Amino acid sequence: MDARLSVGERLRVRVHLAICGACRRFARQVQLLRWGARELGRKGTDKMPKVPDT
Amino acid sequence: MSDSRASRPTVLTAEDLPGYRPALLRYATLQVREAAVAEDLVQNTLVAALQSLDGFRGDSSPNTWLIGILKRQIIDHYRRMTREAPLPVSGTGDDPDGDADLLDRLFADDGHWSTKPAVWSDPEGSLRQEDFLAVLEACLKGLAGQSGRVFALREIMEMEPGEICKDLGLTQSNYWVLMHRARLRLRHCVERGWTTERS
Repeated sequence: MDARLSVGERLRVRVHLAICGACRRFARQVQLLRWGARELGRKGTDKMPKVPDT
Repeated sequence: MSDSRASRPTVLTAEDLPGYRPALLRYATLQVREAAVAEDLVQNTLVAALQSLDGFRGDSSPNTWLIGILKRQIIDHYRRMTREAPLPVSGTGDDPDGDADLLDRLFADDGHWSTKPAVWSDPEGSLRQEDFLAVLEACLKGLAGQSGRVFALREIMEMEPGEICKDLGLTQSNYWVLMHRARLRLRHCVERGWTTERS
């Protein structure tokens, strides 16, 4: 999410996630939070007030 | 004039600006905890926009242009806050919402979860998505301190971690600790709000 992991680090993470359901769930939920935060930020740029015709 | 030109104003006038205030305020309050400060930043944005109206060429939508100005206002505000609040040093310092207590409760001494993340019913379908975003929005407003700021820069403004570290004068490891705390706190808050809603 924040930086590239080394091959060794990536392997350790994969092994842990394979056995830790709580962490898998945590990771999924954090991704959901990331999606949501991005959506909320982008919503700000979509909402345009009605600009009167000139 | 073609239809596509008519759908997006290439000229922005001073009279148009106040209409953008609600959207700007909403964007600011996602990332700045104090309502009065959020309003100040939005006001600064509108003043700056007024002064540089001539420079608006219509390359982007007015909203995007204004949000761009507001982003810089927020980042400057974060820099000021960072200078005033020294970084936490092993357990002391910046802990406005009791991160330490939360982390103690979430994890056992051996590092395992003491209370595991609960199952969230996934917000699929646009109606539930809106509900989820409402819970998230409320929880974001409660994210305080340096970890809240780092989270906002990364996940709402979508800045790169390297940029964030440079802007706020953080080391990579400061950044990771702050992001991790923010994610733990936010996830915990959203879980309370989301699973309560579902029952």
